[in-house]
Amino acid sequence: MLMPKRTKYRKQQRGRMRGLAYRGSNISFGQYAMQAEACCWLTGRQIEAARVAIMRYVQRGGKLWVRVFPDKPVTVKPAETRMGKGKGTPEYWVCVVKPGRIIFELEGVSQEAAREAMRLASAKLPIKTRFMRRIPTGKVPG
Amino acid sequence: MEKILLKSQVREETGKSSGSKLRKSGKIPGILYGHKKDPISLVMDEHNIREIIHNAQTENIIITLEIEDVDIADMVTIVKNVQHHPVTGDILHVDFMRVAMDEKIDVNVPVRILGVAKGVAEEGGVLYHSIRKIMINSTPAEIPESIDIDVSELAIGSTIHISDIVENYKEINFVSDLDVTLVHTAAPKEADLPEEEVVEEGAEVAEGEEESAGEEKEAGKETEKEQDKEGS
Repeated sequence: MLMPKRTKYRKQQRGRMRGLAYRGSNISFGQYAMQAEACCWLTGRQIEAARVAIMRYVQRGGKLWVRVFPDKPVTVKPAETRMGKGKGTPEYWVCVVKPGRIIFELEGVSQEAAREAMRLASAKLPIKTRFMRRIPTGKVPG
Repeated sequence: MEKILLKSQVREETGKSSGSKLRKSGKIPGILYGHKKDPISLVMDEHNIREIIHNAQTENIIITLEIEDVDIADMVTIVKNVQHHPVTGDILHVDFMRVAMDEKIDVNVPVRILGVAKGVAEEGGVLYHSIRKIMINSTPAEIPESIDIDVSELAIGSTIHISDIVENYKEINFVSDLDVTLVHTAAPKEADLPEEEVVEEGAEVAEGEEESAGEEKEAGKETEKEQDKEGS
């Protein structure tokens, strides 16, 4: 499961998910990519499930880049606990994803295979995503 | 080389709010800089610049700017940067750099792969494209649309470096390091997948028990840690 090796602080505040992902919104490594169309917290489990779905489909061919990393701890209070008595314990890790963020990049497979692999992976994620491919000229994303 | 003309005006207002007002009214903000002269903020019609950029055959587009009320004939520029909206892909801002047609400049030229590698078609390997742009030094008129690499003879384990294509492009002055790998073909790697679970029921129960035991242990550790903290 993806999670940081060590962190400076165990717990974080939740924060807000406003705006767009201006950084990490271009295809940098591969030929094809999956782009988020909404904001969400992607958990390490969801990222891993999507990654496995892609790798199962493309099998031995292709190279995959995971462009997101869950570095935000989420705390949960135990069930049937009265409010107060401090913040809960860290349970899992998430990555804050904003619209436009590239989640996966893929190379070494045909466009049809990449599209299908991304579709299968998208079903493991809590948001709507879009398939993107690198266009050599014209500098047009999408 | 075809001469591309673009009409633009000098932009008086700068900043976020004026930029968004311009975009709503079908205009695109831009900037002109270079040649150690003062930068000029510009505004141009969104339709015109979109047509030029989207229909261009190359990434290094040479544009002659016609700026209203500025008395400079034939302002030759190169499109240095285009900012796109991360979701819609609309053009947000364009950077133009002044160039002289007889002056050499450093530009990135896209690498285009031709053919299907032998290692991919016959041996089932995977072609890895390491870098997609090469920096060259050239006059604006001589910038190639792309640098083509024929990979049809590339077997598994073979690599093409920039130094391998220099002979084919003797007229080009490469700025990028010649030792850099452009493409290579490798045998496909085993997919990193989780191990399949054993179907036996007994084994599953045992695993479940172990997991629950492990969780209890972890929970115990956490409570101990918290108690330690409170104690300290």
